[in-house]
Amino acid sequence: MIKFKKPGKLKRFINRLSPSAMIGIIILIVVVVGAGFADQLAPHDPMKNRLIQKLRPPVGEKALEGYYLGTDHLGRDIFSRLLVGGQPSLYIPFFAMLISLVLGVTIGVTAGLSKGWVDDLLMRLTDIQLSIPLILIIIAVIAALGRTNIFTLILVLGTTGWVSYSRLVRGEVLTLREREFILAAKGQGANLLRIMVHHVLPNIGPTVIVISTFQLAQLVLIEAALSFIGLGIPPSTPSWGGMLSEGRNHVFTSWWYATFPGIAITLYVLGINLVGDWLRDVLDPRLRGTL
Amino acid sequence: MKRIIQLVVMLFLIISLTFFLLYLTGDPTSALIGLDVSPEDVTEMRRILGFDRPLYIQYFEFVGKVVTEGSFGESFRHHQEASHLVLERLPATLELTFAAMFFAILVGVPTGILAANFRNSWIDSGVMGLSLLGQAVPQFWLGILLILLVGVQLRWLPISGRGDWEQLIMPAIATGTFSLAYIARITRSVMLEQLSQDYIRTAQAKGQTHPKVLYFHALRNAAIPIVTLVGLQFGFLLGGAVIIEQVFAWPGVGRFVLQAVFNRDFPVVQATVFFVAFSFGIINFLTDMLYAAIDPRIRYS
Repeated sequence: MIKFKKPGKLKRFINRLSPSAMIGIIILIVVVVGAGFADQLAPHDPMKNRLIQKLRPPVGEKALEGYYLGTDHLGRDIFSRLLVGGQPSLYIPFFAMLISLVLGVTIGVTAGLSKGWVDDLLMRLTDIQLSIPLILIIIAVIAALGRTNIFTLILVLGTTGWVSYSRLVRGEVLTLREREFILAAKGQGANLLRIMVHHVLPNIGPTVIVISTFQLAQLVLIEAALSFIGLGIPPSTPSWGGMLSEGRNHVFTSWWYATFPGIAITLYVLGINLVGDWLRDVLDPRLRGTL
Repeated sequence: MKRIIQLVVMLFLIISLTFFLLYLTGDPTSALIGLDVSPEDVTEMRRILGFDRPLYIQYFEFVGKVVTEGSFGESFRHHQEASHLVLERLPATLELTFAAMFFAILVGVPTGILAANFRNSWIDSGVMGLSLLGQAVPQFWLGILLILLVGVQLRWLPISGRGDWEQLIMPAIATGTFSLAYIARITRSVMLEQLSQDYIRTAQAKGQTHPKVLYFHALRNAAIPIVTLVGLQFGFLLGGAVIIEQVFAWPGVGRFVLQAVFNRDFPVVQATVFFVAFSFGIINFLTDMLYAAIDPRIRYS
């Protein structure tokens, strides 16, 4: 008798991956490991100034041995700072994404299940927020707060991002609520909360996961932009956006300074988007026309 | 008419929300007069500026002034009417936004059609690969790269300021590339969807030429989703312009509002949010009108 060996779970998962999704996952692993083990991996102290060796290029005559990506205007190792600077880009967008996911899904489901003025009010709120560019809302909120630290930054990004979810989730719920299994649950006397948790949430899960990956990519770009204009992470903490903002001042003399943090952000966002594309195709191909 | 009322209500809510957002977190007096002043001076300043009164009175006065005079109050820093200061700079931002939009549409839509037409060829993969990259590059970094390559190395274009049309090119490309990539991607997938429909086969069976099928049949039906998308991208481009202004020293509201945030110059922040939302509202209105022009099935009363 011929025996077929059923491939393991991990192997089956890898088999289903498209080549581009593989590239995406590899990029993400590199970023997560690089930033996560920055302290162990960094060849030099990312915070230590050595003015005598400032602005050395990564290649050429003036290059310094062991400083693979050159040094910055204070003589710090750019490669080490890139590793450490990846940390804020890793956790700030992630936690902000979680906050807006919870907010957005709650608002979307509530709007979709309750007809009438609640729905109207929530959708009007969504409209208002969509009528001002997101970056300007964030700037206004930061203006109100006066200054930001990492905690407030996560809160601001999280509480302004929920509109990405509420619209689509509401639409999903509106079609779901007429489906037989929801009507059956209602007929059996299930209350709103039970219907929400047991019947609606499992069905909108795939859509929400797909939206959240694309939102994560967007948040990485916004966080970098905010740090770049000086409203994000304080300059004392290394971050990719902050490095770009310093590097811009030396763009005429030191091309490498602003180049490498930019490549890092681009690759990271590309990685998230590649995985997002794959998740969309697998989980919810209908979104192909919008995301 | 209904749309206009909606827009007015929306703008009213926006000024109310920004007011409470800004003033609930404390008034800006202390930020205005520095650290080495006595508490009495702070109280006196607060009284002169009117921040000692109850919040709701300040609110009604503020809304009253906006509605009757179109005034957001005097800028704390520049001691001129904030709305004038913002309106002076708004055209520069809109110019950049529209230029970016033109660039994104003019390149994005044909590229998307091209990719759909040569589906699964190297052209298609190339376009898709580039658009993935275009959606990953931070706009402001693209601006820096353009300055570095085109401005400094090649010396083809001026690197900052506003005036010449040449000065508009790089900021517009930096602002518009993300939207270009997005528009190309969506145009491709919408066109592919249309090209698989029955009416396309009918047209081909009747012996229509390929370009005619592509541009007359498929594109016309794909136009509605594309126009919706372009309208939505406008808000994104407007936000992008705010950032890109920093890179190219473009004298628009973005640079101005950022300065206002650092100075806690609330009237300027409020006026900026209002006028940007207003411009965006008008654009959305025009997009809806465009729907009706493209698709005779849609009519607005």
